[in-house]
Amino acid sequence: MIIINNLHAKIDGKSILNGINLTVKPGELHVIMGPNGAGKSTFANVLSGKPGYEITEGSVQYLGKDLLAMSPEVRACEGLFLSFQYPIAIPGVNNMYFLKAAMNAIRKYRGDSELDAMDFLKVIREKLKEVNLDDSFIKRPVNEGFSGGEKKRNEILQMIVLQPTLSILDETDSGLDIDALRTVAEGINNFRNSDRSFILITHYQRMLDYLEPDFIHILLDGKIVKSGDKSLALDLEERGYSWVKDQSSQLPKA
Amino acid sequence: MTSFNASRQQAREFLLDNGFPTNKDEAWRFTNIQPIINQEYDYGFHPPSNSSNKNLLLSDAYQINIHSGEYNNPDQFSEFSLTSGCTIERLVSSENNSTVKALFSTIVPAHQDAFTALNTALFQDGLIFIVPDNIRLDKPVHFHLENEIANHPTNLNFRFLIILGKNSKCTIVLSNEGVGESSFSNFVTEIKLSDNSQLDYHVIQFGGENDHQITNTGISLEDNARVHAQYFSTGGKTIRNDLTVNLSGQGAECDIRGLILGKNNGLIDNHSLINHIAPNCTSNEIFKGVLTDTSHGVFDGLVTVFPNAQLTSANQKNQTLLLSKDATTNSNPRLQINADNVKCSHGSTTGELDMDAVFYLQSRGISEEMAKFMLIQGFALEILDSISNESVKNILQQAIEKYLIDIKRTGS
Ligand SMILES: Nc1ncnc2c1ncn2[C@@H]1O[C@H](COP(=O)(O)OP(=O)(O)OP(=O)(O)O)[C@@H](O)[C@H]1O
Ligand SMILES: [Mg+2]
Repeated sequence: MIIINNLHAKIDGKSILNGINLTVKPGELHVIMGPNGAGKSTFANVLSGKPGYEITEGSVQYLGKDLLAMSPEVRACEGLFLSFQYPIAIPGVNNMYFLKAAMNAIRKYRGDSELDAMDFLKVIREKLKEVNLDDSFIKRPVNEGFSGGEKKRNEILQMIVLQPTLSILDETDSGLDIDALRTVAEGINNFRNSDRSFILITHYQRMLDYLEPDFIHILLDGKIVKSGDKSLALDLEERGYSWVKDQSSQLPKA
Repeated sequence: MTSFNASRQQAREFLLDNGFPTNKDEAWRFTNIQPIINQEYDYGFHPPSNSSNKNLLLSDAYQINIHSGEYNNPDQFSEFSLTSGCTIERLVSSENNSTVKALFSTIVPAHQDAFTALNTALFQDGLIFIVPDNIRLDKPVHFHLENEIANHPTNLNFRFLIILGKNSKCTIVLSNEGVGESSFSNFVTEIKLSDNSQLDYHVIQFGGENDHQITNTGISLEDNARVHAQYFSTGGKTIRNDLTVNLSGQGAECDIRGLILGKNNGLIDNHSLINHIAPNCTSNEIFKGVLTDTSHGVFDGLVTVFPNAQLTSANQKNQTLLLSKDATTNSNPRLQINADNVKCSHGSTTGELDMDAVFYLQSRGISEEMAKFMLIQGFALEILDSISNESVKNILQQAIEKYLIDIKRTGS
């Protein structure tokens, strides 16, 4: 699915990613954890093509193609999706218009016919239920005045509507109440299948109780310093990051 | 009152004494009127054209075309009066009408400024439109001026006197579409809203490449009267609107909205004065601007709360989106509060397109170009939210879309 090789990135002259290696196969769910400022969101942003970053080294192969050469919209059309840590509000553009434009842009790219308003409405109504948002949300401007949790559910709504192949979820669990956390986790679980992959960024073990992660990676100072199975998340919950930091400082510098 | 001739004479003297403003005058600091006044004009109307532009046809409205002289057709007026119950007449033949006698040149006095004086001195004609007490018009009344291409630049000074009786209700659209060769239209509109009346008033200006449009409008509101005034201006060499709203009766409300879409080297300038004279009145004012190329937008708004006007609520906002490095804006929202029990706010923001928002849309598969289109459109469309007449709303939505396609084509 995606092969990330020795990825280095800078922003405003400052190195944030310092050689990330990660391979995700179809159907896998990888979790990335790491302290604040480690570079998790930067990693997600670089993969989705946000401007402003300078890629100084490394490569990313996505479905056999050079991901870094694609524009953000082409990446999305190729099935990459980012659920933002801080989804921004877009006053004046209503959610329905936005989602329909997005869905049709992707369909067009793939050579499918565009959906008309009626068909689209049918799709969206069904998906809204899955994330437990009521119909009024699609008539409101994108994320405008949405509560923190509503914004996160709106991200997941977009994911299940746009049906990406690789979903990067950046702290989608932060800010969700207990019920919403379960709803969102169920949404992700229903959406999982053997062709779809996930990179989930989180600080907490909670959401992982509902999901079956294949791998847990710890990102520190822009590098993956430790990988393991889901028990690693439990260790972290208990002990924090200091022991990982101690271990990694003993590693030879790359 | 004084006769038309006497008013014309006084206005002419005012103009001769004071001359035209220069950029040293505070209210004209950013408005270069040299291209307007250093030009010789034919006075009057262009002949009607067959190739009339249909951009501004409202479906289901009483339409009165000023340019083609239809306003000059008494049959049309009597038919209109019969179906609507309202009165409409030519101003030049209504000098002895008691309403004209009482109100002409009182809501927008000739000495207010040079262009009002110019209009008062030289007006070729005008219309008086009266909605009697308790009449509630369902269809909008649409006055349309189209400046045709003529061999010579033409100056038209036209006036409206509009009176809404008690408990009456009406939607008026005043549109001006310039396609002309340095044409210059100079309108004065005086509006009186009696107790409990309600007016939706739309000014729609589609400027031609070289034309100049100036409007001076005064709206005077009595007890519990309400006005929703909406200005939409795009294109043109110079568009300048002056609006004075007098909230003179208790409980009166005004909702003033404006959208300017500037391109090329056009100037669009909106000046407004909102006077809270009586207590318990509400005013909301928002002007938005989208500017590209080397266009220039000006907003100058003063809200004054008079000493008696307790329990005033006033909001004023100006927001501008600059799409090019060379587009400029001057924003000057002002509040002058002379009463103590009031709720007022004002603010102004100017910015470029939010590139994080562009990226957000791109990350969902939408092209950069389309993302920008959607964001500018969203910014502009907000101003149309409160328009109740669908046909007016449609025309403005289309105009926004046309502007966006135009500027995309020219690559700005
Ligand atoms: N424009 C910038 N200039 C300099 N440093 C920046 C810039 N943008 C981000 N950074 C830094 O990059 C580092 C990584 O940020 P990033 O958002 O990727 O962290 P994160 O791992 O997602 O943290 P969190 O868990 O708090 O979300 C931070 O130290 C941040 O301050
Ligand atoms: Mg982050």
